[in-house]
Amino acid sequence: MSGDSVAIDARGITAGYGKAIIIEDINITIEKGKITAIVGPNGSGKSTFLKTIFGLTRLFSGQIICDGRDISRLPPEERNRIGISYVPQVDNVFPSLTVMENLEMGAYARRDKQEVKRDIEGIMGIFPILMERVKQKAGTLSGGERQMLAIARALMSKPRVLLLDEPVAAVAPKVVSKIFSRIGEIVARGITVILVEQHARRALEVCDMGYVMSSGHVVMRGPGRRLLSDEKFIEAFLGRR
Amino acid sequence: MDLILPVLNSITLGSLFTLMALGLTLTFSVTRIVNFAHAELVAIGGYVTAVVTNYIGLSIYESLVAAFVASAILALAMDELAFKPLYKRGSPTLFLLVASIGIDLVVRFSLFLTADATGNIIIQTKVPIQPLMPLGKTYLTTFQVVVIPLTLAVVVVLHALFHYTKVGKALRAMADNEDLARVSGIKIYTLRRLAWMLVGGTAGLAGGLWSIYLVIDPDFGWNSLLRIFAASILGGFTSFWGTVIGGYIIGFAENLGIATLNTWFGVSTAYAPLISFAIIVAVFLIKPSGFAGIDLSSLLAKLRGLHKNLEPEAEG
Repeated sequence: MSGDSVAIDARGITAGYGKAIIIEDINITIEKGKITAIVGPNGSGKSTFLKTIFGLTRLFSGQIICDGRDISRLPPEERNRIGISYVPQVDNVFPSLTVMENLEMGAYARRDKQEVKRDIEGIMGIFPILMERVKQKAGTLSGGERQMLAIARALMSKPRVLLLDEPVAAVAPKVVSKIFSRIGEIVARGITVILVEQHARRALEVCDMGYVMSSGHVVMRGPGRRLLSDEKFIEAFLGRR
Repeated sequence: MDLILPVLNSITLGSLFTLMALGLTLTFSVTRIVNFAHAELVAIGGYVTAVVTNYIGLSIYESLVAAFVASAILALAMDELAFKPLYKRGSPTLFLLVASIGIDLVVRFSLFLTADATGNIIIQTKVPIQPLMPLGKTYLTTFQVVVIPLTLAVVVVLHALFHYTKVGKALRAMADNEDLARVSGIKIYTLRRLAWMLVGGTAGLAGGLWSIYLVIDPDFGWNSLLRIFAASILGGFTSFWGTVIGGYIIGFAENLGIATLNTWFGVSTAYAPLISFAIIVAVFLIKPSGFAGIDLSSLLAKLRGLHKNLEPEAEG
């Protein structure tokens, strides 16, 4: 993989919270304009890895390179400003703010007011349900609507890389396919997506490259479809049918 | 019985309590600190107003601006020197609360020492309060025509700041979820400084106005703390408008409540703070979330439903 095609390169990442190490010696390369899925069981460290890319954990060692620049020590707000956006699994909207205010907060670091207005209209095109809820407080939205707002908020910063932490967890089954098709639209716009999912099959079906984590380590890697047909992977993580 | 005077006094007191409590609510909303040292932001405001007016000879409006600035700087210093370092270390809320009591003691006794050394233990801002126009059997005073509109102006400006400006919305976002605010590119430490300056400024302004109304001493901030907490707690400790309503309720409850108890049961007016204490206990027992826990839209919907249910009976 050439340097120009790499969006984020995590090199030898060891990170955690306080004194506790949660993930150890992680090497993951994220290709530009593609979906990279990180799957694994509960507690494997997937979400911690995503938070580490965004600077929300304690980095013990390793480097995070974004477009050739070492961003390991940048605070989260600065990482947003260089084009990385993050959608946490829970608490991913501002509940006391309206839908419109949430979108405005997504564009907080931007100075181009007119373009922000146009982008809000564009986002409403991707998530039409939000148009009907513009003045509603985010805390009153359903789980699916909230998730869509969370992704929309993250897109408002015009990211080059979007980190999604279990975007369909706690969402009604009929909304799941909607959210996945929206993720497809986002990638079609040239945005790199890192998708953390507990439901491995679903994530590996849509991704270009997949990483499997277990107990804080990367244990397998490869294109999503190949992993899905890998006997060892099926036995260990999907279970035989 | 002429109710105009007690009502006017209650509105005046309510305005002062509201101004004092808004900062405490803002502090908790944005930083999750239960700040006992808020009392001293009020006290410093009072002393600065009195000293600047009485000794330097500036106008009362200039003195109030000085009080706003002095308390804003003190609030900022409190955060930069104590709260923020503790917060960055991940100290729990209890540690921050205890730290706030420590800061309060340091500031209060520094104020005591300074006031004692300069012979100003007891002081009042020398601005005559004069009757302006008759209102029933009493008069509307020059103080009331300043303090009541000023409080409402501060409330309106803060409301506009929080709801119609990018920075204000970001402050609300930060109060909702600090991590998500950072993730959205909001520079939380810059906003935190702004919040502390607003907290200190409004508290200082309230203290300055109080020093015109009554004689103050270095304990006056601490003695007001119960009322400040009561107003904020009534508002759910996080609600801006809840605190405004809470401030006026405390003003009315203390002023009218103690007058009633005094007239009917001979209770000394010195027990007035007990009413605020009783309100705090009642809120914790009955509705700990205060006014913030009241869903106005569902309450209105219920009332509309009740109204509709009653209509056929009324017609029949």
